[in-house]
Amino acid sequence: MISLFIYPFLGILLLSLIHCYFGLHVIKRGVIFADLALSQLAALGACVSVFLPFLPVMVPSLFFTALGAVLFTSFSFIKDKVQQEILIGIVYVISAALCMAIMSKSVLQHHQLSAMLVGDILMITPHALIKMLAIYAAIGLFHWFFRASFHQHSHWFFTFLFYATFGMVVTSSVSVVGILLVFAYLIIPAQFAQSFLHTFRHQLYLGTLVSVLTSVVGILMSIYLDLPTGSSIVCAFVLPLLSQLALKGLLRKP
Amino acid sequence: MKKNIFFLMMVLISTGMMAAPLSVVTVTQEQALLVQKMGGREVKTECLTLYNQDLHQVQARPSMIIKLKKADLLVRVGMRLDDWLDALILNASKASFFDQGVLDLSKGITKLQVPNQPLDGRLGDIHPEGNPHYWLDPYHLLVMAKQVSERLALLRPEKASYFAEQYQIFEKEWQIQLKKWDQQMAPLKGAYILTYHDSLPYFAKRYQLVILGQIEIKPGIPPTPAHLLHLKTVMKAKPVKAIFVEPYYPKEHALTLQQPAKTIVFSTSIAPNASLESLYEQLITPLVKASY
Repeated sequence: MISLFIYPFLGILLLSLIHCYFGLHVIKRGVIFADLALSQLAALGACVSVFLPFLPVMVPSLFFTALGAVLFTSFSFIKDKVQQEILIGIVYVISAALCMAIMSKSVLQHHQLSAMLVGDILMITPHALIKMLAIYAAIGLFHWFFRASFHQHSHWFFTFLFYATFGMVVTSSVSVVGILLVFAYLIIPAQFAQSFLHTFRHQLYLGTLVSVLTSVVGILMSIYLDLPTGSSIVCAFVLPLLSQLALKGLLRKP
Repeated sequence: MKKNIFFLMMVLISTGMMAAPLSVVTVTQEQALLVQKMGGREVKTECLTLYNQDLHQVQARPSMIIKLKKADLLVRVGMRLDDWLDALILNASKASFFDQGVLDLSKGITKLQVPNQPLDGRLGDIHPEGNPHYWLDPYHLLVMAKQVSERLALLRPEKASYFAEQYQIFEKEWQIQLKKWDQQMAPLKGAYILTYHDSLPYFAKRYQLVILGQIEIKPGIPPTPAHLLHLKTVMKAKPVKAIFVEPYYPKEHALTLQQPAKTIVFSTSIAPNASLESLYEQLITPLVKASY
C-alpha cells in the first residue's frame, strides 16, 4: 500500500510548499478569487489543447493564465473604483463556461470534467514530479531574489510577474490535482497560519506543515474509507478549519 | 392540355419522390455502415455520434432534431444506452417514428447481465436493462444486419428483393470473417483480461475469455487506492493478457498496472472510412499478438 503513495506524497510536499507561499501573498493582496480564476484558466487551456494536438499540452494553459495575469494586473489599477474580487470572479465564471462549451465539442467530456476538478494525484508519474520540481524551484528562486519587490505591492510590473508566475505554478498543479485541490492547498493552510503567526517565514513553515499533515490524513481517509484520493484530501482540509475555530475559541480572552 | 401537363408532372414528381433514397439516421457509425451495406443505393445514412465518443455521455443537441426530422428511419442501440434519443424523438414529432420508423437493434439479441433485482442509486449502475454493448460480438452483427434488412423491406416493399440480395452478399462475406476470427481466437480460450469499463462481456463470452474485473468503479470517478491494489493482487494471481481501455477513459491506471499485460485501446465504433471488420480486428489482432 505504501508503495502506491510514494510519488503522490512527494508531489504533496512540493504542492504544499509552493501553494502556501502563493496563498500567503494572495491573502495579503486580498485577491482570493485570483486562484480559482487562474486555475480555471489553466483548465480552459487544457480543454483547448485537446483541439491543438500539435502544441505541447501546457502551452494553451500558459497562454490563458498569462492573459489572466495581464487582466488581473490591469484590475489592480482601478482597485479604488471597483473591487478586484468582482472582476476576478467574472473572469472565473466566463472561463468555466468556456470550458463547458469547448468540452461539449470534445469526445472526452465527462472524464475531462472530473479530471479538471479533482485530478488524480494517485497517478502522478516520476516524470511529472521532476517537471513540477523544476518549475517550482525556478519560480521559487526568482521570488526569493526579488522578495522585497514582491512583498511591497507597489510596482505594477511585479504585480504582473506575481500573477504570471502564479499562473505557471497553477498550470502545472491543476493538471495533476485539479482545481479544487489547488484551491484547498492555496488558501486553507495559508489562512490558518496567518491567523496564528505574524512573520511571513513562520507562516510559510506552519502552513506547509499543516498542509502536509492534512494531506496525510486525507490519504488515510481514502485508504480506510475506500474513497478516491484527491477528493478525500480536499475533504480533510475541513480539519484545519475546525481546529482553527476551536483554538481561536479557546485562546480568546474572556 | 395544361391539366395533362400538370398530371404528368405530378406523376413524375411522385415517382421521383418514391425513387428517392430512404433517409436513415443511426446512433453509431457502425450502424450507419451496416445500413449502407444492407440498403445500397436505396438508402442515405446520417449518424448522430462520432466513432470515439462515449455513448454514455452523449448530450442531445438541437442539430440532432433537424437530422431526425428528415429521417424516414431511426436506428438505435437501445437498452437505455441512448436514452437521450427519447426527448429528441418527441421533439422531432414525426408520426412515422411511432409506427415503423424506429428500429431498436437490441431486440434480436440475447442480453447479458440483465438485473434480476430492483435497482436504486446505491448500485450506481448505468446499465439498468442489462449490458448494452452487444454489437461488440461479431456474430451479433449478423443478427443486426437481418433486422435492418427486414425493416428496410417493410418501409420499401417494392425493393424487398434488392434488400434480401444485399443481405445474402453480406452474410456470405461475414461468415468467412467469423470463421477466420474463430480460428485466430481459438488458442485464447480461457485467457484473462481486464477492462476499464464493462464493455466487453459479449465479446468475451463469444471467444470464452475471462474478464477478471474493471478498473472503473463508478463512471467518472477515479478508482480508489484500495481498488487499484485489489487489481494489482488479481494480476499477480492470474496471467492477465490485456487491459482494454476506450479512448475517452484515462489510460494511466492501465499503464501503471500492466506489466506484462498489454494495454489495448479500442473504440466501440468504426473510424471514418473504416470497414466493419476493423471494429473487431482492433480487439482481436492486438490480443492475439499479446499472447506471443
